[in-house]
Amino acid sequence: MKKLINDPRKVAGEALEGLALAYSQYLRLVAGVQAVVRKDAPVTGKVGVLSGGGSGHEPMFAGFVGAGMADGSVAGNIFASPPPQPIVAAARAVQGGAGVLFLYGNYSGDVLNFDMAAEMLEEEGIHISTVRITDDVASAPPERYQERRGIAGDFFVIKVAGACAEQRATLAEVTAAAEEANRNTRSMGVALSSCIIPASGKPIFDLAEGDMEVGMGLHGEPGVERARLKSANQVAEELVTRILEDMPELANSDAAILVNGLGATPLAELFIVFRAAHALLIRHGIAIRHSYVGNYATSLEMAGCSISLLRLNERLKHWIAAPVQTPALIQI
Amino acid sequence: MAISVIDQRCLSGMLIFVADEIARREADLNALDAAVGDGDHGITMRIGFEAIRERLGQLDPATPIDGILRESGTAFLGATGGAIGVVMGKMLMAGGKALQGMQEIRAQEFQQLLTAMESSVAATGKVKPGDRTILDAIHAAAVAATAPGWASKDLNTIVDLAASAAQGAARTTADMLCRVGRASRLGNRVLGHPDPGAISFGIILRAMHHWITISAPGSHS
Repeated sequence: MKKLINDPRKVAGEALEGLALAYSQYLRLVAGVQAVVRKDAPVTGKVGVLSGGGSGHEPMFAGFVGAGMADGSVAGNIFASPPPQPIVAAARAVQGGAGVLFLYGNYSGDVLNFDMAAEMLEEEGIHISTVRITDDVASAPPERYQERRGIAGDFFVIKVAGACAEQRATLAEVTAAAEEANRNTRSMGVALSSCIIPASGKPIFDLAEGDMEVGMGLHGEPGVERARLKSANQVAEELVTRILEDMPELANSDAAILVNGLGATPLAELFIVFRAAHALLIRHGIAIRHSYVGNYATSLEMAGCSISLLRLNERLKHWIAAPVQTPALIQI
Repeated sequence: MAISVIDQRCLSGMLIFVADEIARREADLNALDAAVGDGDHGITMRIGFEAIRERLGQLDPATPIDGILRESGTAFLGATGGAIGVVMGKMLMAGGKALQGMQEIRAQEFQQLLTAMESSVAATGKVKPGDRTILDAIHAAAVAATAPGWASKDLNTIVDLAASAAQGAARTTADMLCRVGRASRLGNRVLGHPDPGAISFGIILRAMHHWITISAPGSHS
């Protein structure tokens, strides 16, 4: 294992501290816990949008804290949900009197810890609403969509909820906006190599030189197919095709696209994938209204990428276009 | 010469002994988890039990049995995160609740402890026996500890039976498919690999029994 770290047990905390020091114009740490909130939190009268989950996916989730996106984010240790107490502390720090929306990927650890935090906060009189993100097409068949996990599509859901909350919508309205974004988002990924968890120092799965795994999850969960690595054009086609099969109504609609790197894939390769996806979407009559390319939801140093598509209606178009100022995304 | 009863001072000593054993087994547990998950179960368990050890060191020595278990649960839950953090944390807290007001743990209280922990884990994780989780080990332990004839057995024997049952059940999770949690995405690939949480529970009970057998009455603190 070759990593630029000090102590394998302190990776999540020290990374978050570094982020907060580097981007103090947008966010600050919450005292005593692994969480950040936007600099001006709590914003009076505004729904607090609180995201979070295991670390190792930087810049997700903390990198998307700031005006126009999340009000706060709670970071667990590498690939492990945060415990309830930091979630409670962060929720208190972002609640401006209009309630707090929890947004996180649908994993059992996150569900248990965020639910427990929600119970504790409701007892304090802070109203909590929850949307679990389920964009990963590979993780369960369509008829069991509620079992699907959240991957890079988290970005679209947080973006939409953040924009809606910024306009002083109610908790019910922000929740509905996040649900609408989640319902209209699909993602599909491909892994080319494993990541290494700092504390164990070992790859989390074996992937032979020259192989890829389509549909692999952000923590190495097995995907739908292991095959010889193909060209960027062929891989893009496979990912886009699987998304379109899952959501045929994407054809001939407006969409936002995110080509997301998993950590070790160069930006140049992501642009090559985007180029191919762009051509495919046009072929299916899909008008790309917003495109995002880069490392948004990573898996430490895993190589590979994912494609996320958000089918846009007028409301979602408005929210996706809204301005954002966060460490990982500035949109004017 | 094994002890026949655990009072509150013994309980702290026993939990610290378990923490030592978990720390020793960290790498094994990580390796088991690597086959079905992301390879950090041993790390999580060690962090959780280190937090218990630290919390016990700060407690008033007069803290009763239920307080020790509740504090241990809170410490584990607060330090770890992940599904196992909530499951183990709430399990220990439920054990404390079941033993509220008790001064000592004998065979009967140990049964109550296991039964309460089983109910807690089933409710928290929304799981049942056979789902290939930590509950399989806990359920087997509770069944073994309450098997006919238990009333004539002492604490040492009951804990031994429970530990053996938990360890056996943990091994048989290798033949089960997984319905819940991250490993549920693995389908057939989990076969041949036991559930790391169930293995951990077996280790905990076996360490408890080991501690009981090496602790002479009145010698512990």
